[in-house]
Amino acid sequence: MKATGAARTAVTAVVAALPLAIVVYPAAVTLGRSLFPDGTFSLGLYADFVPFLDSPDLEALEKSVLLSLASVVLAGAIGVPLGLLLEWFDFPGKGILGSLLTLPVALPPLIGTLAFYFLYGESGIVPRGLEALLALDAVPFRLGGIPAVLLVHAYTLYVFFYLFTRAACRRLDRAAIEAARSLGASGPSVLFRVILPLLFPAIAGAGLLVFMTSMASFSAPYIFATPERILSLEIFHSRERGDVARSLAQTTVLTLASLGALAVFRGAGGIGRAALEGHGIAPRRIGRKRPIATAAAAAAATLLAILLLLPHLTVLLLSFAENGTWTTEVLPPRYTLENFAEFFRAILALVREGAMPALLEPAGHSLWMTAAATAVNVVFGVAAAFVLVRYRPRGSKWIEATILLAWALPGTAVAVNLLTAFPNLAGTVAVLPLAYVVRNLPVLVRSSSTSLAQVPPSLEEAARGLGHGRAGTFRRVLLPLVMPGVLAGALLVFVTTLGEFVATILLYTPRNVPISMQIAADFREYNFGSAAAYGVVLLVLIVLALFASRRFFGRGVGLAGG
Amino acid sequence: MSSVRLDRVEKLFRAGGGPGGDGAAENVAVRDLSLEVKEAEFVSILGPSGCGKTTTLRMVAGFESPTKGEIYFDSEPVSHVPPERRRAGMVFQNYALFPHLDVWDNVAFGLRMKKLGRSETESRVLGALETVGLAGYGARPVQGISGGEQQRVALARALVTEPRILLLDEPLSNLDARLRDEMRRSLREIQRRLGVTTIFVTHDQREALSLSDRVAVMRGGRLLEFDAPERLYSRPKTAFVARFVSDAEIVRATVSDAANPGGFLARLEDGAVLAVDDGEPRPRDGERVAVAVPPDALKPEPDGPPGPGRLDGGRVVRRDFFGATVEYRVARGGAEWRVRRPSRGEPLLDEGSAVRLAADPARLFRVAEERA
Repeated sequence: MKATGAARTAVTAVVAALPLAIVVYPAAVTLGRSLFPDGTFSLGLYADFVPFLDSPDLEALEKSVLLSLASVVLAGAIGVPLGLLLEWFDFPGKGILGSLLTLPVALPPLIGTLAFYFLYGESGIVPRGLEALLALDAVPFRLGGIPAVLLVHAYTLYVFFYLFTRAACRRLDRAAIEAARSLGASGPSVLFRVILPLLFPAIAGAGLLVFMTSMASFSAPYIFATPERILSLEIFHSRERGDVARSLAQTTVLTLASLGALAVFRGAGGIGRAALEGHGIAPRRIGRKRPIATAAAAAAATLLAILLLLPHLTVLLLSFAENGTWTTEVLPPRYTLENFAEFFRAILALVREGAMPALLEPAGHSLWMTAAATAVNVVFGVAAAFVLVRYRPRGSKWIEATILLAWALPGTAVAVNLLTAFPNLAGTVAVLPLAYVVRNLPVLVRSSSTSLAQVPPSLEEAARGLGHGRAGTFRRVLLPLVMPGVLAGALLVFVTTLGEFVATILLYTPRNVPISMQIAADFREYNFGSAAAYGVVLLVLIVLALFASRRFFGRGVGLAGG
Repeated sequence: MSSVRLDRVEKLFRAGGGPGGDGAAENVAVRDLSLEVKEAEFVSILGPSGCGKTTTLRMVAGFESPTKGEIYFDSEPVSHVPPERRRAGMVFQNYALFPHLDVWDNVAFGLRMKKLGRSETESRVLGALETVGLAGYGARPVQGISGGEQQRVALARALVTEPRILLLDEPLSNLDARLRDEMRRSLREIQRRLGVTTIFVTHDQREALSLSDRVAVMRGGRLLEFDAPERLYSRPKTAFVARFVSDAEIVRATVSDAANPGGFLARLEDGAVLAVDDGEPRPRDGERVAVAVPPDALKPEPDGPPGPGRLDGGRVVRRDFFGATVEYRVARGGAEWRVRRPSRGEPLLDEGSAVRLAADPARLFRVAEERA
């Protein structure tokens, strides 16, 4: 990357142009087409969103918003106390629980939803188990519809609250708490008048993230709430019905809801930074010395850990279940290694004969599409990092804003926008990898920028001063320092994209059926074992990638929701 | 206002679980500390970082509880009283203002905890802000005011509740030099006016000497000396305090003539002889003593006959000019001697020049060498 004037300009131009072409322009086309359905301006497509008219779209919007608000409340009610507990109390097994609590992040939305279905759904392990255990005539409960979606959201999204609360607690000024106490504030007063107000910006930030993710959530409504009207689901159904025009208005409304939350989030972020400039004295952990309290805390922690791990364990268990055998039993009645053996045989066949076995086709499709998208993301991410961190041309803010837009767009909207803006691409195998590029744009820009920002420019100057040219400095100094962060980001993008479902379901063609669609198909055909085996493979990859990225990068990189 | 008494207080920290407030204090405990602060008195606890001074203050505030011993406010034991019921006003090194509240609400915080009526709260907050010279600052956000103003808000917040005692943890250390002087003066003035019992923790001996009625010097978790500033400065009893507070050099010597009329004579290892007239009972001949030589006890003088108190053969190795005073380092007999002189009235010595020093017997004194 020779930083000569012309090269700089070229790189900057590409970095500015790509998000405009694949994020902003498609969103604008969707907006335009929804406002000019027949070439003339009309709000007709939005008529259904007018308040006080009893219309299906308004109902969907209301339900989505209410569902998202409920998700925020429930996830917050779980995540905030857990964060406070882990930060301020010592009990046996705390370290392990602390890591386990972030596990839901490592569950791809589709796999997580299916795990919940098998655990608590119509014929789930827990309701059936209780029925058998208590000798009831029928299952005591079954989870479905909106409550099930809410539960999945709470399970996967409390992690935002948990992590934000812990991070904010660590930045909390312990002296402020002591000052409050010496001014006469007792425990509850300190909590409500000092600690929570100081944590509020972080908690509010987590809340808005959860709100955005819930609005965009597709997998959980798709599996659990199909007859219900949820906005992200309605977009999919409109397209299935061929009502493209209507899907455009719905997509625009969903996008605006997301952007609204993002705008509030950015505002709150500003407040947050000011209020959380702590003085670096970590609060001392409160050790519980009483043995009964310690035992109770340990027991509660164990129980919580089991609850947290249940979905993962369910997927693992099911991956050994014989396809088509599990109906009304508590647990799958028959087990086999066949689901995994199939893979190995197929891989062997591939290696020996060189022809792609049908079983591996979805994996093959996912692999090439993900690899292609990740490669584009890496190149763009590094280039954007240089532009945004080092060159900082005028208008950098706008480039950042376009990339941020990609992050705020729900997966459904990304898919609909691409189909609308590039009708020629619809039905080709290229549109799906393009959607992956859009969805992961911000992750790699962020991980690359963070890495590059940590390299002080003086290092480059030192290398130049020691006689290296620009190219040599880039290759020998910058690249080695920046690459770990970029690779960590790339790894995460790669493994999460392998199982992408939200944009995939709208964009895949028979010629590039990927893993997630195969899992969904297996699920529909009661091949639970095969679906779960694919899920286990994805889970293992994701856990490995998370682990590697933490080693290299120091902290996790945000995952695309859905 | 209350008196404070620490009675044989001891504090042990489990390894790793340090107090965290005092830099290197990680594993330092407070040992067998007894200290009495009288009503309305201003006492400083002075010591290097890690000496246990902040831990001591935090025990008085109630943030730590003593492992052994008892702390009394007046005659009431308070070791098991939580901080919120001790009525001890604390000012923190980093101010610890509540960033989500403005100046007014920060100061009113303690009164709200007491559930005081609105009009009384208002008049007391106004009064406190006036006391610290910040009348009219109420609506400002605490992040929008300067470090010195934040310090004043912290002081007002602690004083407004009319605490039984006021605790100050290195409150001036984050201020720049000029502001520190100004703040020191107003702190002393406010304390005098309100007559509030005050404990002030610092590592700066100038601050301690200029502010306090009495200064307690701590080292390694122990109280070494506790005395009025003048006595502590001119007649410290321990080698550590002589070095730390009076900038003295400590020399070891053997008493050669205990009965000499102008002060007993003590012979240094290099053969030079000092006359020491410290007003204490005379030592015995042949006794080993540690003699403190403050920098203002030494004076360059023209050549003359050798004799007690005359140190020949020195050479100026460094000169530091401070304006009103000048300090020399004089190398002599394998040791370096610090000499502080007024900068006017006598010619300045150049680095490298030879010098003969005369030691004033009345300024020298014996000190006890503490266990290392």
